[in-house]
Amino acid sequence: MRYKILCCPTFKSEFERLLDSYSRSEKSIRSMIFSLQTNPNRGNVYPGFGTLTVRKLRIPLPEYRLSSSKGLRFIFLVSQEKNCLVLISIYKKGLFKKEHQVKKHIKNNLESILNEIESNQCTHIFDNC
Amino acid sequence: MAYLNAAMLEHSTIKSYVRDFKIAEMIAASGRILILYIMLISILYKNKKMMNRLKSSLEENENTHLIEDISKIRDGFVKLYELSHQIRFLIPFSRLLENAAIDWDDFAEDCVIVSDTEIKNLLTRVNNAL
Repeated sequence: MRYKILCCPTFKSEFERLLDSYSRSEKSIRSMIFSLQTNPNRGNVYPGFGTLTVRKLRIPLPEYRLSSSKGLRFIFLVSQEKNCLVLISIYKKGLFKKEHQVKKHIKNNLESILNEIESNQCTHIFDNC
Repeated sequence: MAYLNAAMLEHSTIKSYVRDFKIAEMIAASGRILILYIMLISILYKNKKMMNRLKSSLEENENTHLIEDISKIRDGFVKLYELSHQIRFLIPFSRLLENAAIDWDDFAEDCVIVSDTEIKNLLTRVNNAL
């Protein structure tokens, strides 16, 4: 079963900002995200979200000699009933100095993503992102 | 009652692990390298087991004390990692301490996100809007 990948403008702009610094890794990051279509169970599940499955995937950047622990953090929501993945955030480990900054960032992204889904601004194909 | 006893036991185990970091720092300051080696091996050996315990505790119930303890453990690993650059005998532990500090930092981030009810609500709303 293939999952649809929902990419919203909020994620798109975050991804583009990231690629400004890590352009050599674009291909490997994209292929990693594409691979979730067939295998959405990659990464660690956030404990305590109950029926909602939110995952965090550590992405290495071999082009910059960064291991998965020092690489990117990619957060996405898996909706099994709707057969869909929602891309929430992607950032470099260490970008946020404190965990509360990450929380604020995720909250802001989710608010924007919700507005974008409700106003049909998101695409179902990550390739267009 | 049995559940309460188990929870208290769990909490005391976590507190004792947090205390181990303070003891390791004191031993490092006193320069007793052999004891420090034993202490660090013990801390690193318990590392994954402790994280899994805390993860399962968080899945069962939200607990702000646990989040504080997780941050303390993360800070403990960060301090030991910094010490590993100051004390040359600790260089072999440097990579292990760095990886543990990153793992616990990720875990602390995850806990803060999961414990936020607004994020939970937003996720539910996003899921319903699909």
